[in-house]
Amino acid sequence: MTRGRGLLYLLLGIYAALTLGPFLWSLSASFKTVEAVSAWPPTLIPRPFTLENYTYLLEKLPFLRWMFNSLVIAGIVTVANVFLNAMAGYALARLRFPGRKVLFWIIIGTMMIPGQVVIIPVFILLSKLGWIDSYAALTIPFLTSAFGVFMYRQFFLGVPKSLEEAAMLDGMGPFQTFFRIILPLAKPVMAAQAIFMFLGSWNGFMWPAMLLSTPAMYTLPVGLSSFQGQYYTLWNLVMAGTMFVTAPVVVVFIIFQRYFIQGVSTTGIK
Amino acid sequence: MAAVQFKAVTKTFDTTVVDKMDLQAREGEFVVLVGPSGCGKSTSLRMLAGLETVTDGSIHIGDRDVTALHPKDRGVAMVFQDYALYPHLTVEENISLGLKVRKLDPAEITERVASAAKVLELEKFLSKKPGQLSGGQRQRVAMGRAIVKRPEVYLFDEPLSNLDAKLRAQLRIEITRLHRRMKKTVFYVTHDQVEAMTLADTIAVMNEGKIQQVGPPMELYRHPKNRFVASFIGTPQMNFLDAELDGLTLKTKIFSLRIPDGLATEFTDFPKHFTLGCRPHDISRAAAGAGTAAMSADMVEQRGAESFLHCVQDGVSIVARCEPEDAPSPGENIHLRFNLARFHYFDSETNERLVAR
Repeated sequence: MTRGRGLLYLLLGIYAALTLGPFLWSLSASFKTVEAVSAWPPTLIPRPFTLENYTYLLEKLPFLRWMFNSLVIAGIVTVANVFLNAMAGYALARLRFPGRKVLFWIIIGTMMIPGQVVIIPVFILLSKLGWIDSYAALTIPFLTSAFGVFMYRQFFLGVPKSLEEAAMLDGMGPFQTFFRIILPLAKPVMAAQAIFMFLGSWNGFMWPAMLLSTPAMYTLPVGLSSFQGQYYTLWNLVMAGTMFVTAPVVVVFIIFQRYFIQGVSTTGIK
Repeated sequence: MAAVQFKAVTKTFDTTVVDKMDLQAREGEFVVLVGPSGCGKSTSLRMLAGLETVTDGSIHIGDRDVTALHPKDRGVAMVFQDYALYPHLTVEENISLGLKVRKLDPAEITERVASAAKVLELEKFLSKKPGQLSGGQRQRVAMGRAIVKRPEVYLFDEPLSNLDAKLRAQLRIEITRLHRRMKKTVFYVTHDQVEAMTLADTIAVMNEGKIQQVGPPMELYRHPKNRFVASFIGTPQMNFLDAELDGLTLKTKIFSLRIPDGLATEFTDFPKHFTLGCRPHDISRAAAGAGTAAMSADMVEQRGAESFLHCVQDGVSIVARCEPEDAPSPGENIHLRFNLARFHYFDSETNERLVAR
């Protein structure tokens, strides 16, 4: 092994430890008792090993309900984004209509406005619509995203026009062309967006915390934060809850990582 | 009846790309549109396909006016320069998709795909994706996609320009064979005049949005109607010289020739100054003598079977053909004889042909 290689592995090792460390600690803490969590020095192997944190979450708290809420919201947002962004991106890349450039820059412009700035107007708007504390508040405003539209548009700009012309000569209309020819080509982008959007929605905290008020409507991250007390925090419970939040994400990423990396690199070129 | 007719077709984007184009093809005719890039040939083909709208005029296929018809209703199939195969579908799906969209009977689809695959020798590749095929194979798949539709008119848009020289020659022959078999009207666009000459029943030479001349390849070669066609058809390009008539003597900067009495009548209406055209194949090396041009050989282009001499004298450049064994060495002084019987004459102002032959 050359010296450069050794150094590379060392750096990667350090980075892996920094990334994995907190995760492993959380995992271990979720199987510890309250006393063991705050014991010094901290240990990696939970002793005594207990499943009580998990049973507590499932039995005493509406944890499954929160998980369901999170799944429904993230599911709707993900599916909607994957398709609606694709349609918008395609329209901006290919259809000729007056004002398309202006529209595109307006969409890009919205990415430059921090979410925090619009919290109050969005809240007022949604409360006037009567959507506060409902799924609608967390899905409808998030059905599309400027970044997603941009990503698709860049991809579609690179698709040769002759493909659409061939489809036209094959007798396909605009919708058939889009769904049978264009969209299948965008699979890597779709997968990347599915992951981005699912993660964003699943991990989202600010908007759900703002827009939800009854515990039955909480998403996982909001529910989890509710047992951070003012004076003390039951870290063992929080970490068990965190495992519920993390596990699906890890599974999704492992399944889609191939596409994910492809999709990210797609946005880089062209 | 699948004759094709362009009637005063005009296409304007920001500028006029095709200008009052009139062109007819008989049923089963192989028509090649040829010209430099930007001459409007591809736009014409795309208007025929229905991929571009027509600004003015009309296009007819058979006895139907197709000017306003959707591409799919025109009875045409097109082969694109970049093949335009659907990358996510197999060869078989690529070929059959158009038929499935038209909701043909599945048994009929299978039969048509099988017969096209056989003709094009694609049977081994039916389950492959386009990405796994070579350029030549991809272009055959593109042709298969056109064939199964059994169109009245085939459209080819520079289908061979992405292929290497060897494959191009091979596919040229395949396309000719295919045409003979299908007996359908073909419109074929290329910028390559060799392709035009070898494939066409009829060539239409275009320049700056206008058709310059329409005719069989050899007619265009022998009797180009203007200087543009003369220079575009034939390689190496025709030589052009400023010339003038002095009685019955034809004078250029590098040689003078006496016009034989028998030909004198042809020159009666000639302007004093005009342009003379002579193909490299009508110029040969000769011993010094009356009517020859003394020139200096600048460069020798070896083609194997023949050689082309690039000669200069008094600011005039001439390309002449000679046998490889007669090729001079660069810098050598030589004499060239020009074959007066094969001369072409063009008006220096209008560039139109002077003698109608």
